[in-house]
This record gives sequence, structure tokens and C-alpha cells, in this order.
Amino acid sequence: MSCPQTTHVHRLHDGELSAGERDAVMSHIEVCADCRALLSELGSLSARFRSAPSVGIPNLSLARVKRAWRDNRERGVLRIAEWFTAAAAAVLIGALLMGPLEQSQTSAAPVWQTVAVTPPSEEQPQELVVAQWMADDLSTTDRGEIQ
Amino acid sequence: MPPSRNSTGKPAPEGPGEASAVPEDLDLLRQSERGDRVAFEALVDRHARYLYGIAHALAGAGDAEDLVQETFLAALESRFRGESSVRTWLVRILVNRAGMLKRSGWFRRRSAMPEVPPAGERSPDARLDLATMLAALSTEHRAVIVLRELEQMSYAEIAEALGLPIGTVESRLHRAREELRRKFKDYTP
Repeated sequence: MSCPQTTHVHRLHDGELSAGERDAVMSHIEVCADCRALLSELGSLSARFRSAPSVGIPNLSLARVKRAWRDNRERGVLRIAEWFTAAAAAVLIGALLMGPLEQSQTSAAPVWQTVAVTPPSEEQPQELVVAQWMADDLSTTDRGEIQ
Repeated sequence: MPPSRNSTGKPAPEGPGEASAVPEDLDLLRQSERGDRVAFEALVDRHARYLYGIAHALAGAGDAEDLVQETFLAALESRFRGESSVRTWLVRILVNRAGMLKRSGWFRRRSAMPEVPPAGERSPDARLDLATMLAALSTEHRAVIVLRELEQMSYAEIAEALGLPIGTVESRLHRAREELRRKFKDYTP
């Protein structure tokens, strides 16, 4: 097909032309043997497709397609349940693994206990020691006067 | 000339007073997405036969049901943007999935398209079944031929369904027809 109008012949065959365009192409076809032959072949080809037995979906297939929705939803619910189960298992395993670690951390004595049992530093300033002696002495004296 | 087509792809109401009683495809789709089984089944009843015909032509009998099933399930997981009719959108999903599955080699052997007999083995009066003719085409050409010749879709509808420019649809259609004409000119219609 060497005629440049073949595209229009396809469009004519497919009903894709406006009334004006259709008239123009029809006029061309009257004088162009190639396009006339093409239009005829396109008609034959379409006739082959139209004559093919129509394919209907079997009832069983239709029922299975409908059931697929329910199956899919059930699978979705099961998937969610699986995710929750997996998440719970992960939390449990995490707790089991983290427990001993936390215990080892908490077994160390708190700071205040450590400080309470630690002997006074040797390097306590001398002035403080003297001040403490004086306070002790005064309190002893006060108690003696009262008595 | 082919008969006039329903440009919307939606089924027409059965009577003048029934238009409001028939739920729109979009309503059924939205209800299905919310978990309404009855709406989903109504959607399947409305479009499964049509989609099955396309799936059968694209993939063969063995995989047509699976393709239709996957199309409906994929539709529920996708988001319909209202750029076309629901039916055209479903066709687009189906054709895309058919292409994906074809590329992944998923199609079963039993549904493989029949081989085209070599030219020397043809008898002049041989009659071809549709599957043999379609088997001669590439996936892209087969899709446009099926949508045009079997489903009587317009160029614009095919373009929407395949997500292609109209010019590409036209050129694929012409090439597909030329290929069929060249390969099967020995056969009688």
C-alpha cells in the first residue's frame, strides 16, 4: 500500500471520521484501487473476528472470582493476626533478652548507699575537723550546765 | 462498518424508570473497597464476562479466570481516579497484569497460544481460529486488536485503557492488521 491515504481508510473502517472527512475519503476510494482493496481487506479481517464464537465466562469461574474477594479478605485478617503474633513474640523475646541485662545494671548499689558506707576522706580539710571538735565540745558543755 | 459503540462502556439501564435504581459502577467500587461483599459481587456480575473475553483473547483459556480474578482484587487495592469509566479502568488493569505476567513467564503452558503453521504447510482453504491469529501478534499488537475488533472500543477508549496516546494506538492497530493480512492472506475468512 503506497497510497498516503491508508491511515484515513483505517479510520473510515473504524468509524473514527467525521461526516465531512468520511465523504472526502469515500471520494478518494472511488478513484484509488489500493485504498479500495485495503478497505475490503479490513472488512474481511473484522468479519473474521466477529464470526469467532463469543467466549463466556464459565459459571464456576464466575463463582470463583466472587469467592476470591472473601478469600482475600480472610487472608488479610490472617495476615494481620500473624503480624500481631509476630509482634507479640518479638516483644516477649526482647523482654527475655533485656531482663538479665537490666538486672545486672540494677544490682549495683545506689550512689547514696555507696557514699554512706565510704569512710571519710583522709584529705578532709583540717579546718572542718577542728570545727567539728569544737561543736561536739560545746554541745557536751551545754548538756553539763543543764544537768 | 462496525456498529455504533457505547462510548461510556457502562451498561445501559434496562428501562426508563430504572436509571436511579441501578447503582453506578463507582458506587459499587467504593462499597466493595469498604468491605461490602454484595457490592463486589454485583461489580463482578456486571464486568466479569466482558473482562473474561479480553483475558481469554490475550492469555488463553487456562489463565483467563486467574487474570480476571487478579484484576478485580487489584482494583480493590488500587485507587480509581475517575479519569475514565470503571470498565475502561478495569480493562487497563487487566491488560497491564496480562503484560506483567507474560513478561514474568507466569502464563501456563497449557494456555500458551497455538503455533502458527509454517507457510508451506497451509492449505489454501484452511480456516483459522481466533487464537491462532492472535498468537501471531506481539503482546502490544494483540491488545489493540482485541480491544478494537472484539470489544469494539474506539481509539480514544483504547488509548485510555492502555495508557497510550491515540496516535500510538492507531499505528499499533495498523501494524497489527498489516501483520495479520500478511501472515494469513492464504486463509479464507
